[in-house]
Amino acid sequence: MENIEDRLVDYALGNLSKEEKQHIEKEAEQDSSLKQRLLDYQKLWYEMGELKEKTPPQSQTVRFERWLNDEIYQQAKPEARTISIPLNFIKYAAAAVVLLFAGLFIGTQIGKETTPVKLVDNQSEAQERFIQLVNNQSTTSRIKTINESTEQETLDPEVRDVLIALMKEDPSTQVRLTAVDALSSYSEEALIKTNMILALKSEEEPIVQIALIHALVHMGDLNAKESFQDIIDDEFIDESVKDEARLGITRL
Amino acid sequence: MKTTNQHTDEAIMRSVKDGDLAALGELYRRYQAKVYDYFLRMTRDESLSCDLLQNTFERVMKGRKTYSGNQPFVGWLFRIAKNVRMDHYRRQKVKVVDEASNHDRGEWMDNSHLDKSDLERALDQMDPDFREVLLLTRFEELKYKEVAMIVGISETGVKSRVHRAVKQLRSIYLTITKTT
Repeated sequence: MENIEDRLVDYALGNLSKEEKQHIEKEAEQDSSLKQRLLDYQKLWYEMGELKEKTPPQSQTVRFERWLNDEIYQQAKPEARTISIPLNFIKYAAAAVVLLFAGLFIGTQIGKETTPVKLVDNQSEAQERFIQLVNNQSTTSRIKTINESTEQETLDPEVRDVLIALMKEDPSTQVRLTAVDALSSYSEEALIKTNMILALKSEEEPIVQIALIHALVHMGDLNAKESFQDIIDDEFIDESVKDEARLGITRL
Repeated sequence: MKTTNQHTDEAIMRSVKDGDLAALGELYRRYQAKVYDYFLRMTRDESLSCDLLQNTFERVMKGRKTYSGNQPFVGWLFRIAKNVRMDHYRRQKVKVVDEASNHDRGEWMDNSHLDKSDLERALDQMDPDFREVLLLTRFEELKYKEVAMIVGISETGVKSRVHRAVKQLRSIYLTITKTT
């Protein structure tokens, strides 16, 4: 048999039947001390539910995403040895993306798409394969493809163009992040730096914005300073990204 | 069971188990705040809470093959989180009760600038075992059965512990509000 204090707690927690609740309420009406305790328990239980959840800092999210990408890469490694034409496939895809993005984006500011990449008329087989890569394959597969592409010592220009396209346009944050990481290894490529700055202007996800800032600082691209300042001045950008941009300016 | 973004937690975890490792990113997005909040309220150390959060998801990845597929993901996740926390203290050779005694040493008071409410201060001063069951039942809204599996006691034991926790919370809360 539970004592009265336990029943008061049960009342506050919503564990009692209608009849039991009425019984407690009747007792509380006759005993002001009991009524006060009941109100205390109810108030505490309610207020606990109203407490704000604390969230981890953005740097932790970046840490997790990088670790996850490494895990995916490690998983892909043994498979990469058994794939006969990964580079050829990427070259086909690269040819497609050059055509595709030349038509769609050259000379324009490329905004971040959250929808799949659109097809253009008269697409070739290679284009279709690229579309399949971007639209139909899982995020894991696309990350694997990116990691396979960077196993080569030198970066094939066609592969580079695919990576740039994925960095700017892929709907998955993780894929864009992996593409940034892959491209940041090629610090001597001016085209990559330029496209990273363009990507930074259109990117809206703080994790990727931070990765782009880190990459541009790592590459020592002074042209990035202006973009960093734009980020600092933009009232809609996450404060953690602004902090990285400030740090980036001092390091460049 | 969560059903946002089309797929349930359990369906996503089954995908991870089947080799779609990137899907773990979605589970992280769904639960990072809850798990971090759990660690932060238990340890009161932001940096350590980040490490424990990271370790939890690394262990989810490592143990993905052991996920049964039928059990609620959130219960499984918090059981891992609890083990990660306990392992941390085992490695440090510090008893869990020392989380609370950090208060006496003032080590966790870095958070004092956060303008905590009286209720949060009361929660901080609770016995860790009591605080934990309140976090899991009230904050994470887990069922007693799930909490029992996480903390390693019977369902009846959880109910009893929640009762004692609420009573202790009231007692501490009243002391705090009387002195402020």
